Amino acid sequence: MSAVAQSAADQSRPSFATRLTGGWLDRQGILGYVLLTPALVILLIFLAYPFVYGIWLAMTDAQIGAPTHFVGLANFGYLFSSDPIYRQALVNTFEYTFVTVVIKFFLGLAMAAVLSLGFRFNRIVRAAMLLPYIVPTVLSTLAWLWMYDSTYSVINWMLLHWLGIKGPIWLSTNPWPMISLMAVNIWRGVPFFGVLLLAAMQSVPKDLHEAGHMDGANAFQRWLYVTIPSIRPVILITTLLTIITTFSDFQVIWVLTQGGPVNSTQVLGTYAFSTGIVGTSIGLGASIALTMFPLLVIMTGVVLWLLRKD
Amino acid sequence: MDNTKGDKHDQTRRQFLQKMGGAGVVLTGAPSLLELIRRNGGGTPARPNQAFSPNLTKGGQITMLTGEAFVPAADTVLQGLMNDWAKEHSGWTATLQTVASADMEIKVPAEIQAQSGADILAFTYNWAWLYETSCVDVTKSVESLIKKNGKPFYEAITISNKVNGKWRAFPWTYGTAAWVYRKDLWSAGGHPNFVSTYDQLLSAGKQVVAKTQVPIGVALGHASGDANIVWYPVMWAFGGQEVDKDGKTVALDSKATQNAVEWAIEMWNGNVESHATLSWDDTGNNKAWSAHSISATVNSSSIYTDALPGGSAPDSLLASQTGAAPTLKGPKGNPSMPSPTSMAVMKWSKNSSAAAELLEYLLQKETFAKFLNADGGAVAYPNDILDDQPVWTKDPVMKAFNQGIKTSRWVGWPGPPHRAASQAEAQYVIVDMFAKAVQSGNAKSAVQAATAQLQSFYNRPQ
Repeated sequence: MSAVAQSAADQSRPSFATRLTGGWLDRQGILGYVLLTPALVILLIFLAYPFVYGIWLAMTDAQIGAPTHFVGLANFGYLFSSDPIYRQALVNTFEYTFVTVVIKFFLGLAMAAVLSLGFRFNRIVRAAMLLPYIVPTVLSTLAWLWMYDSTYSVINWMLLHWLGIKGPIWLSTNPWPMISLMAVNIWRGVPFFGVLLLAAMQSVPKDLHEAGHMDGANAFQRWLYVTIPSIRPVILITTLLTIITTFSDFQVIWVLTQGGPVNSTQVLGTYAFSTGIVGTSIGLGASIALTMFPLLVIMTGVVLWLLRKD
Repeated sequence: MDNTKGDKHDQTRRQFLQKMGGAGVVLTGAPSLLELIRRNGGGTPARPNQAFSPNLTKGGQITMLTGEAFVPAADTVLQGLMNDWAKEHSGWTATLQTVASADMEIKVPAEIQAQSGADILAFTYNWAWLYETSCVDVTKSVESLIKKNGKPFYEAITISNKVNGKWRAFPWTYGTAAWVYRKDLWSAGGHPNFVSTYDQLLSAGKQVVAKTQVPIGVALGHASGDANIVWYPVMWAFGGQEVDKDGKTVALDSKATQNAVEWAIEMWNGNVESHATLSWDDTGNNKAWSAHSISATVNSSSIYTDALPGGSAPDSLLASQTGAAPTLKGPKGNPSMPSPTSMAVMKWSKNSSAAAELLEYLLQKETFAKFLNADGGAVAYPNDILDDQPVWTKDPVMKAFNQGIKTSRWVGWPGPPHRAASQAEAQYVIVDMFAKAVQSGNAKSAVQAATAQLQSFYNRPQ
């Protein structure tokens, strides 16, 4: 056999992997499933299963350490009709989410705009800006707890010694506790907005800006009419992710106030935990947590609809 | 030839997602359905009650999970006592596991939900009621211990652990608590020996504040320990109560409760109570005390012993000027609510008999005295047989810390300390009633709001 013929025969012979799997992996449909399986299994175990189990729990009277009975939608009926703390937590959650997401968006946008400018030590500043997001939430919130402390507040010390102002007791009387929590959430969340929007801004084609420039648009107009529309999908996705994480926030609130004083900072996440674990009504706790789901689905739906519209 | 075109496995993205979605539903639903069947068949706990092992000859291992002692040396002593027991029983080991005390609120429910973990779990308040079905009936061992001691346990501790006539946990300790005050500041205000009633606290407190500008401070925030142990007793001392004796009928909205709340408002408006207290967690009063910014608070003895030479935060002023007074009196007595700790032998333990015997050994007067003295008075024995120990007699300040339990009540008093009472406590209904009132100045509406909340707890799907 000639060398050419031998080479052709080698090429036409199925590979070892193909022979081992009977050629199944050469089929696009099957290969797709195979490649997806690890991710799918992880999703099922750590996301889908707890979620379905949570739905089941929400429809029971499950108490830790006691027999469980199916109660249908009774937990939800109780929450909506007879539980004043739930209603307060729901209002607080919306307030907390709306205010912080709006502020985080504008500050993140400003941060991205500034960081997109070339200046000395730009990279160091970018890295530093990310710190609040990188530090573990509980750890940084504990630092805030000390900064807000009624006895040792460094913020109040600075206000008093530098500005001659007597600061409030941050986590005590209204409206300061909620404002204090929002400040921590904003401090943590701005870098997320900033970094994603910065990446999006840097991917806007320069020729669009040049075209705008030639049409007589000034820098602000180019930013408003070229940059912002170009990064709109990223804005929407970032906003969506931030809404989801803020709406279900738990750590910041639990570490700083545990929902107090007088439930003025109680949100759905903390109320679900204190009802389900501390109060041992795990079924009712699950139903509180589950009420977040349709609300988040609606918000997600709106954002995805806007994206699709683009 | 294009082989891929004719491949029957080719599919659109939509078809692929539909198939994967179907598989997902089956895979996630199946275990849940199994769970559903299991739950309806028996409910938690699913595992059978382990019978007491017949004897201790086979050997084995016992683990006991508790919150860390205030004084670390006490845990070392406790482990040593457990080792002593193990030495007496060939083939056995007994291990003490500790976590931060606050984490027990999470750790214990998690183990009970999983029906696995340590053989002995430390409970607090009424957990024996909450987790009754997961706890071994230790009536025989506890009754034997009472016989050996020659004295019953305190009423509040007995009620917290004896569920429907059966002991579900061994009484272990109660967290000592007393009014701690600065002798120098109260002397300056004309009350060197502090006060003995809530009314005096208000009037004398005003004088102390006028003279020293230093308020008192007891937590009004969501502080699971400090806030509850102060505000429940205040309510009771004025004659208020959450429920009637049946444990079901909410009885909070009364003139007596309103009087208690009005007293708190006066304390607040007169600046006798620090306005920072709304933000305090369980560490708030300790920080304020060590910063010398309050003149009195309610706490365990650690707030005093920490300041002594050799303590964790030595402070010569606090060491020399700290006084302690027992629970204050109101128109209806001087009730208190120091937090009790008990030890439950869990049903999943394969060595429940040995675990019960270990606890019985540890709780004997002579054995427990060693742990008690090492702990420096942060906790006390659940009856008075160890009141003569050096930890209470050596330093006169310490005596007050061991008095509160003698008039102690429990959440849900005068009814049983069942789940609804516990849930109301976990959600700070009583604490928040006072906190809301001091902010609004309206006692009536605060009591009514708390009553509505209590009713919602007592009407919950249980």
